[in-house]
Amino acid sequence: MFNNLKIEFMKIKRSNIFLVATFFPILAVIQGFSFAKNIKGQEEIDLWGALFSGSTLMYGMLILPIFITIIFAIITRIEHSNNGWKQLLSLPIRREDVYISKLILGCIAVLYNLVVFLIGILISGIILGGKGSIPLDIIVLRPLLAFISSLPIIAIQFYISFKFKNVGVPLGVGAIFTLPTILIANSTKYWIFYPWTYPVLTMMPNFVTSAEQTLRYGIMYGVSILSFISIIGVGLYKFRSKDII
Amino acid sequence: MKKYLIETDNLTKKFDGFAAVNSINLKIPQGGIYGFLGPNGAGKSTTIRMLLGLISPTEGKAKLFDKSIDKDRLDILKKVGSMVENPSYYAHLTAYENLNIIREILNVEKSEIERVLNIVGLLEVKDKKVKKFSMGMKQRLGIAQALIGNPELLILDEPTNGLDPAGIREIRALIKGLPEKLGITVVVSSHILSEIELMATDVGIINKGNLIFQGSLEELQKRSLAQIKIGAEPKKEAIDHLLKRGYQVEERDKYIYIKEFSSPSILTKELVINNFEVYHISEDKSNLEDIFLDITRKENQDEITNIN
Amino acid sequence: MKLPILIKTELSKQRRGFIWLMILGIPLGTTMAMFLDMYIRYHDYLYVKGQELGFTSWDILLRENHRVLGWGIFLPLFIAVIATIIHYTEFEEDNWKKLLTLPVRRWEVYISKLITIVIFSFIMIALNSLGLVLVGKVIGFPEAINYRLYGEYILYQYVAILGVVALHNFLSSHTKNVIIPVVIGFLGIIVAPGVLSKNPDLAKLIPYTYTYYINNLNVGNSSIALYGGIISMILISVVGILSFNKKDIL
Repeated sequence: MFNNLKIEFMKIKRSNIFLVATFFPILAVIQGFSFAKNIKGQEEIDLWGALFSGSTLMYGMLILPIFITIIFAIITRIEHSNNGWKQLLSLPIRREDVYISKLILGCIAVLYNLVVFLIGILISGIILGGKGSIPLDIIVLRPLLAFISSLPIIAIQFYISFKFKNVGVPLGVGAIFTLPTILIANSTKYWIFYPWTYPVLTMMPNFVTSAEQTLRYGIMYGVSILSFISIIGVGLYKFRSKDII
Repeated sequence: MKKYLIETDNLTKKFDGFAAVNSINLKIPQGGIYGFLGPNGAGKSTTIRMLLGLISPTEGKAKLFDKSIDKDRLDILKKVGSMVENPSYYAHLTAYENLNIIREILNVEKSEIERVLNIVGLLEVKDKKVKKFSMGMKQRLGIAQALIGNPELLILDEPTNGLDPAGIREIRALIKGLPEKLGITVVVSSHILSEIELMATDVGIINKGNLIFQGSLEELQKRSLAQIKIGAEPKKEAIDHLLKRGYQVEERDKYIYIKEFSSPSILTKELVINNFEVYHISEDKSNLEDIFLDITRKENQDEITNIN
Repeated sequence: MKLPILIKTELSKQRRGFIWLMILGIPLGTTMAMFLDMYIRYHDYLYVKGQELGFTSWDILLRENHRVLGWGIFLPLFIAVIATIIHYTEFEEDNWKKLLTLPVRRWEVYISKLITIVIFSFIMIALNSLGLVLVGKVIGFPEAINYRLYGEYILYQYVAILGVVALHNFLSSHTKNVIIPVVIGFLGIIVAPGVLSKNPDLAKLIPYTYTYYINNLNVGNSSIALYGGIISMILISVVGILSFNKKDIL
């Protein structure tokens, strides 16, 4: 399995994905940075909070979901585009290993993206000279939790990237599902039904606080994990028996 | 003065200093079948792409129909049908739809589509999506695409690639008939030498970017290493005798080979008079492949000598 | 002049293609999203708010679509995907080498692709607005349909996106790698709002920002969208044609 993972990693080595993965979270941090800087002069502001929420908005709603779309499109495109499936799958490796190693690679990339984000926030906050102790629970914990709540998006994009040869499909689908996120995230009643809102709402739960919402958050994590397992499971099952023409 | 349909003048293409095509002077006569021969990577496709205006030469010029490809591209391409390397197609469209797109751009009648499909034997599957075609069928489609609109010049890159023996024979017969029936000039590139030998009237051999031979097929065959193959007993003594007589002799399997042009009758007489039994005598004309390997081997050897 | 024929063949190449799903499905999605939005918020909140501020229901609906839903933000990204699909048809199976050995001028091929992208984008934009009109009628807005408002909205969008269309036609024609133009489009839409607020003069030079200027509701100068779209399209296309003419098709 490890071997497979290494191989997958080598395949995307030249695809500049590393640059993309590093660059985009930083853009979000820059946004937050300038937001926080603008309000720095005022008293009684929570600098870290401002920095965090300024960055998270763009990051959680836009950058993270689109990045997930792109990374899985790239990982599967390599085989789709060169008729590579017939070569790869006639080698003595288990299909499950191929499937899972591609998934893991993508997840590592997403985690990397999140880590760059939180490191960027930390550095920016220190530069800005935030008062008080660094609220690590927000800055470190929330992005990591966001990984869990982005599992449904990962599963769906992974499934679609695997299934369709035309790379326009996962890109188009990913773009269009990301679109209404802003709108739906604003709705306290209906957000739970739309997985694309999960990451941003994990990172910015100040949207609402109530017992009902706390329950919903619990449901959210549950839904995330369950949907991930089931979608990945179905995808694996289909992949195992798929005819490669 | 023979009329040349395609002429190049020191045509060169360099990639990062490496000359894929090195100053070649093609002279392709009108009305024949020109076999463009070379091992893989010799520069055949690169040359063809320059002739068609797909890539621009680093140095030199290419002229077709007495016009320069970079100046009169449209006029030239109106008269050329081509298939470069593997056939191109829109996978999700049918064979008919694929050809129709080309037909519309060329502005020829709709009947052309069925005509060329018939020629390559794909008429029955015209409404089948190309993504479902076998490799041979895609190859035929590529040829059909080149034929549509009745071009005066046909440039085909490895046209028999992927076809079964029956298919190869059909396409070969088709290509051979084109100059006679329709006055079309054909340029066929290949690394399958026996194919070229059966089709071509003129040959150009390219190796490592250099044009190392150009001329008619007969001229090339004359260069052949004709040998006399002798079966004589007792063998060893026969060999000694011939060597003493100044012949260049080679021994292979059970036979004796005389490696230069000699008269079989004189050799027979020579041996028989000296009490040798001659049970086999024949002229062994090597085929194009041997000639080709010989020529390219010489090239490589020269290179090695130069390097040394 | 083969341009009309080329456009016709471009459209036939998309027969039974995924692009139709996209340009029909996306407006369908936005219509449904707007329907839900109006269903939930219109009667209780939006209508009242609108009356306060002096906006008609149709004004509010447009604003919800353009700003709150984010249609104005995402439009360039959708166009990037459309351009990618149009060009991918050619890169698949190496079709460029066939197309460019036919007796057609290279610039005509290039522009035919540009116009095809424009056509599909226009359809998608029009359907989005049509969907809005539908939503308004179904919800039962009291005011009469404001055709002028929506007509202008569509037309402004048409012109504003021309720069993005030209840019992505250029990007997609040059590289077989479909990811690069999409990543650039993504970059464009992320950077756009930031540049707009920090450096409005620079923003005028970036085609991705032009959709922001479309607003019959105060914010911004709509003429920037028009001029920007047209000028950037012309400039980028000229550069694109010159570059495409010289390109080696390997």
